[in-house]
Amino acid sequence: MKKNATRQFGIKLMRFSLTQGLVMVLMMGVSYAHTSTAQKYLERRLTLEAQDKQIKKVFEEIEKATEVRFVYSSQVIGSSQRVSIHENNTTLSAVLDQLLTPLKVKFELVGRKVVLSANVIQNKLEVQNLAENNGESIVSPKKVITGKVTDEKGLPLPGVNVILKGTQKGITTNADGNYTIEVPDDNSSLIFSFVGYKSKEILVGSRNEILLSLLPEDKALEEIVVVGYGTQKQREVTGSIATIQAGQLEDQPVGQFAQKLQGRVAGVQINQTSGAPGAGISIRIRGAASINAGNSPLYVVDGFPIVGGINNINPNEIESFSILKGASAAALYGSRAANGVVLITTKQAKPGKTSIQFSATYGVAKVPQRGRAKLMNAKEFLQDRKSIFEDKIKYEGYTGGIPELYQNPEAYTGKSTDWYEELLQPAGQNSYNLSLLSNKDNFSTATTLGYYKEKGSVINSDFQRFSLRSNNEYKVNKAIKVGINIAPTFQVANNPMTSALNNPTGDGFYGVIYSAIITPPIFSPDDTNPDGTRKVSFSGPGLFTFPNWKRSLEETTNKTSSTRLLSSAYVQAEFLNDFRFKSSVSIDLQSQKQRVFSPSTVGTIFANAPKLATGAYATTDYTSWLTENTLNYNKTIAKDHFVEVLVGYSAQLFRQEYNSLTGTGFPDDAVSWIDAAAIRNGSSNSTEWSLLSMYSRLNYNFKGKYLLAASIRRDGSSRFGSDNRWGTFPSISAGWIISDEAFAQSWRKLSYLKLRSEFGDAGNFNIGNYSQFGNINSTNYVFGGSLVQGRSPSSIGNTQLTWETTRGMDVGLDIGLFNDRIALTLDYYDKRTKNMLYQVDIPNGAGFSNIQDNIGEFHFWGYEFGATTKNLVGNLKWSSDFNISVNRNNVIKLGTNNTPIGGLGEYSSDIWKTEVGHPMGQFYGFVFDGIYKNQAEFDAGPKHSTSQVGTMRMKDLNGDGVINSLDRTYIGNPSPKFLFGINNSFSYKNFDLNLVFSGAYGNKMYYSLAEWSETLEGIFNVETYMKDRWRSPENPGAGMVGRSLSGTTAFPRTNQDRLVKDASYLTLKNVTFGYTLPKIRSVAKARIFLSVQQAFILTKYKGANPEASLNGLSGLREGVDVSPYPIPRTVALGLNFNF
Amino acid sequence: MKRTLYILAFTAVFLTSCSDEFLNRVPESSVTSGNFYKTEAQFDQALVGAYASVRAAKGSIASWTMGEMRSDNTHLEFNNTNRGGQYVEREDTDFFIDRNVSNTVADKYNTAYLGIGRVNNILDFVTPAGLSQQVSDRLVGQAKFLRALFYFDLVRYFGGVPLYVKAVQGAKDAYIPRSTVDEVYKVIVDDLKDAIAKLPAPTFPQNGRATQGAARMLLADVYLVKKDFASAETELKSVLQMGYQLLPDYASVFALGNKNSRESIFEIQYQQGNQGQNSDFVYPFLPLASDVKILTGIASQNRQGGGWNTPTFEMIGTYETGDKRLEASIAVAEGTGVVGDMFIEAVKTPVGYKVPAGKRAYPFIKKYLHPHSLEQNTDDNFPIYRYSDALLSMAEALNEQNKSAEALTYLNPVRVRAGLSTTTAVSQAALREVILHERRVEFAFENKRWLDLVRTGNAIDVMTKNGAYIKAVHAGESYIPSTSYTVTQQKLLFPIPNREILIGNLTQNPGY
Repeated sequence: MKKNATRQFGIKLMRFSLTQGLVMVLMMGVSYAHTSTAQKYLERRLTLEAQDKQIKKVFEEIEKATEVRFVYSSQVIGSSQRVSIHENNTTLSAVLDQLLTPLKVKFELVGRKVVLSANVIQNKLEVQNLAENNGESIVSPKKVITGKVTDEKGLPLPGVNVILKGTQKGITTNADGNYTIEVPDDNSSLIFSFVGYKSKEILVGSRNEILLSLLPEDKALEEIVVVGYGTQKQREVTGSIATIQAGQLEDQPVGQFAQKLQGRVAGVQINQTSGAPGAGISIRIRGAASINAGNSPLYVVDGFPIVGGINNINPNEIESFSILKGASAAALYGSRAANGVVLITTKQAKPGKTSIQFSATYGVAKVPQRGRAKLMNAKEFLQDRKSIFEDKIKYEGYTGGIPELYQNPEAYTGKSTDWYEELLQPAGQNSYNLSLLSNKDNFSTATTLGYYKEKGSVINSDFQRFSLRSNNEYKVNKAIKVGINIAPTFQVANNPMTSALNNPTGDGFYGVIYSAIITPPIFSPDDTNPDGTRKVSFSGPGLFTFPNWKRSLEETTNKTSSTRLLSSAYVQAEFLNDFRFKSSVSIDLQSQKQRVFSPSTVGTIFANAPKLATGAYATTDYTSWLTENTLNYNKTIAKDHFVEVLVGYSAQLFRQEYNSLTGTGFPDDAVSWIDAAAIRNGSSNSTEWSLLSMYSRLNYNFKGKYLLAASIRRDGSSRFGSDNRWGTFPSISAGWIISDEAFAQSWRKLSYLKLRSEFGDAGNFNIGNYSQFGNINSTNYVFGGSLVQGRSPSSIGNTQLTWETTRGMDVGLDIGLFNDRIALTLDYYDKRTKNMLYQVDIPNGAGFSNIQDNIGEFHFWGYEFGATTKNLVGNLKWSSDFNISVNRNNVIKLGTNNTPIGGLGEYSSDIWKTEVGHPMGQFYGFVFDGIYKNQAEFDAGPKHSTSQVGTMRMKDLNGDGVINSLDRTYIGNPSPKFLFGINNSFSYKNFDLNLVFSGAYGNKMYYSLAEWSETLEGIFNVETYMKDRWRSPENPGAGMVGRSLSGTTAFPRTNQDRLVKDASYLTLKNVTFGYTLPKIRSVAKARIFLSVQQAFILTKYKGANPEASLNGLSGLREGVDVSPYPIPRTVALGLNFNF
Repeated sequence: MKRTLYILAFTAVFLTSCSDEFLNRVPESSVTSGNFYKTEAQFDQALVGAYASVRAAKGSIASWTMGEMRSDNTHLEFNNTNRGGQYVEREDTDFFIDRNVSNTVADKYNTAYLGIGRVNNILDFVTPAGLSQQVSDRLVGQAKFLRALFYFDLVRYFGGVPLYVKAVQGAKDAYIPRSTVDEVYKVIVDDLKDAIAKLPAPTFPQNGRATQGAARMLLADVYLVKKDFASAETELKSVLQMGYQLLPDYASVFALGNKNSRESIFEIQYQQGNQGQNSDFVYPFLPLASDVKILTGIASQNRQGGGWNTPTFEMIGTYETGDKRLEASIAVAEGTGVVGDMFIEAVKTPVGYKVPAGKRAYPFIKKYLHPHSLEQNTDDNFPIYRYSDALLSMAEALNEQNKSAEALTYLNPVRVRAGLSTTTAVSQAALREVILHERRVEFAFENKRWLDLVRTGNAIDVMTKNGAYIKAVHAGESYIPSTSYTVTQQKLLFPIPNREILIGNLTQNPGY
């Protein structure tokens, strides 16, 4: 009885205290709310018209009209709650009463915040229930907890729900973030929750006061994602779209945004194939490949599909990237979307804020030692030459004797030049960016001024970019806004290696680095002629004549400057509540000039110096304009049906004019402009394409959990044959948010689960501008001593020519676990590219070697997995991103007779073969089988026409006893088995650390330099292991290197599996360590960081760059390492200031 | 909603009204097949284009590699410092170890068909174009001559090749199997007969276009190969009556001032300058040297491109004493220094030349070397048929028909012009030898020697001996593989390029 009495008392007390407490809190709130400032807002008058509108939208309008901000918990009002209100010039307080009273929602005004809370009566009842159900608590000592809830910045957070765990009992914090709550005992737990913040559960323990700061919720799912022609909530996206916020990439000291995306996105392979400043990046989405139409994605900058390069864009102007990977996500871009679409959104100012941001980085770069070819030093080289002559005398009856230079290698004391090192210079980069962001009084501007300079690792190469972007938007009134974006850039690049005149193959086969490495070490770039001038070329007994590479690089002019103006203007009008019309015009102008001068002192591998000076001057100007009109309709019907419709049309025209002048026969090197040339040639031409498009999309969702999207686009292009001008590209996708279903509520650890699937068609229109026409070229001749104009066909036309179609599907799962601390994404895709624009190889008897046609079919499929985890969320924060992707393909059909592509020649310039029934672009060549060590082996083995005892042997795969081109087979696939990226971010107090790894597994690389660095003729410098070559049956060497016998040395250079190397790698692309300085006055944020780009590579691959690929990620012709421009390791110091 | 409809309606109207115009983009800076092959002027241009392909097909590196280096006339200056694939291929052709992957051999094949394709387009479109008979005949006559010229090269170098007599308009038309040698010759003979009927007789001065004379000369050459000597005699008889004559001096036949002279029946036209019409074939014939100014008059290094088609001392030795053609055709560059870096000190006559101690010397082809003003930019034409060919072919046709005495009346003018005495050889066999040798020196480096050896059945014998000679002369230089100069019947044809075997499903010639 006593017990019972105590219990009764307890309940009473509790009832009292709770009621009192709540009343007290409310009173406090109200009293506070009615302070003068708050009162001021409440008395503001506004006009509000809403008919069956989402309350969220109504709040937004009130916010706009009165400057107040609404804060509320989703338990108080569902965002889809619909209301109607018609008030004309009414005070805010009256409006709120009118609006909220029927919903049983109370409000209080705290500063400018309107805090909404549910009616407290409910809570009282629950307290009663609690008391009745939990008799024990009556005897427990009552405990009153007081405390304060603040946000991440330490500011009070009003309106936070504080609930006693296991009950519905709770209160909300007051205007100062304070609360008082009674709990049964020390074992009670309180749950603090607030919209936009992460909920927190706290065990009371012995404390009487709990001070707490809530962290903003990771709003990934609520995040707005940029999709084609609009935005969507991440949650409602049904296609496979990856989004990257550029903010997290800011610290990387690189000049191109794609370098920053390496390793970040599942399914997107980004290789840095060359380290040339401002160049060398190749991107491929989901293994996309085409035979002739290219595989690079479509880049869309702020809605404008751009035609020219993307490296003019200052990465600091970029706010976010959306990568449309899936079939339906991209399909809205129709005939250009087959390779995926990268949507780039540039920075816009955040509402209500003005800030100035300044960032600077300064970095030094150096080419790592790893991966450099290990060639002979001078002594080894001389010894090797000597032995070659010894063999000539021994085996070939050579009577010329060993040249004096090679007779006594041991006594050599001269220099030993490392020619690779000689080509390099200390490199580095620095960049400065200044942004002004302001969004106030209906006008917003985001202006970024940038300067980037990179000094390349190779002599005389550098890159500079000056850029400006200004995005401006003005709200004329509630319904209409206009915007103007303007982004001029100017960039200048110097690169003697890619001068077309200097070196026809550029940074490729037999390019400068490739050729310079094998220059004998006994020559030095500083060798002088008798008159004291530096030599322009070197020759020696039996040696190839080499130019002085250092002089060649130093003295070549190859300067490309381009001015580009990317701009757009738009007007957007909202009308009839649910409609939005946008009309825009975008223009991309570029003017590029390239000036080349190759003086007489500049030599190349096949044209040695001195030679006649040559020069060129070329201009390329293009204009691309787009006009686009879209109409959006957005409506929620009968509460749960959300419908969004987009219709649009656009027209785009691209025109380019090219002019070039070349000059040869300069009398000397004094004047480098074409005027000084004896022979001048010019060419001038223009090219155009146009594209008309109509498109429409429907997004529908029911209750926000059953999602459906369908789109269709019609494209007409001037590039297609006149008989086949228009194409239709439909798509459909659907999603189901399973975690929103009632049955899923019991899956406690699963916070989010979405199943999505998509189907769609996309095209690839990159077939050249006039391919439908057979070209007739000027082909002149001479009759009677006079020039006569003539013409001849250079290609066969095809009026049936049309786009390639890629039909694809994707199934994906998005999973959130443990309150979204772990987010997983899984995708499977399958696509088929048909009607490929194919240069069908035909017999040369036709007078042409190929015909452009739509033929052939590739099948692609793959898996992607991405995980984002928050491993630690306390003081030490640690989050990780991991992604892995597997891309596979198979060739289904090729040209007439399924003629394979490639594999015809025997050198690495034609090493790839693409054949039906196989993955595309595999290496094709001989299988190395050692050397014929002695006569017996020679007699017994199959032979090539040049085989001798001691030469290399390849496997006789067809067993006919003869080794010839029929004995080649597939010797490796340059495509990785899988790609992955790992990104780890740590922060502790003011320190942060970020590591980005990117890797690939199972990709093979053909080490093509060996074609020259393993020559047996004795004319180049060679790999050190070449000394272990076959000398005699008694001294057969290492069994890998054949003899130097004349007439046998060309065949070992052919494609063979021995030179196909595993190039799996793991690269620490970037590591950044930052420190945020304590706040100083007006500086909102100051941060200093140290960043290392290309920190290290873990690989077994022998070459320097396991990402190298002569032709980029072209699918059909990738993975040959031709010793491209080296990629340095950059160490940079950086600063960020926000004011 | 009404406004929406307006907008949509506007969109629809806008799109339909201007779409066709907006999407029609034709090249502004080039001509396309869509509007070509329509007018007489265009056909004339197309014909010029077909003539231009004669340069590619018969003025190429492949032409002298396969026509001269394959024979006993020339060898090469071995450049051990450059082992580039294209150079190795030329050596392989000389050594008789060429393979089906040789780009040089493929070039011969491809360029001939390039020309055939251009001709076929003219022939296919000329009838639908509705030109006058006179214009049409003018076009067809020249076009068919050219086609015969290309097929004649193909059939002699590769045997029965695929016969493309219609222009290929799509992939489907492109796959044609090999025809027999006889089928190819039938097309050649038919084309030439039609050409002869349509082409005008030569008028002097000539301008370089095909004439009835050129077509009859070509047909006679075809008959010689087919051993139809009587028909050859008939054609040649006509040629001999067309007004052609020998120029008095052999060396002046190749002089720049004597292009398309009365001695010329057909030649490849070139013109120096910057219009892309220049020749440059003489440069590879010059020795590898740090500077070839002493030879060309223009400072230019020839370290890598030269040293090809080098006359052998054996050939020099076969000129009869007093034959003016030796000095006109060949000179010797003498100097010091290593291969590739030779410093040329003097140009010597090959007559009685001996290499002095301490010097290096290379004979080189002189007959095409004339003053020009720019490096690698010469004015020289390249002969295909000269009147002396008509005379020597006539002599051969008659001798083969046992009319040896009559043959001498055609042979001797050629000898006399060269400063030699008339020949009195009377037996058919002896005269056969004399004519073959006369052809060797008269047409030295005109890419006829290898084909003459094959046609006359001497190739295996002569080249086996030549191989032994080359190996002996260059013993100790160690660059000639032991397997070289194995000259068999199969080596009389070149391999069909590997690409054509793989793509066109063609059968390969035996032995490759």
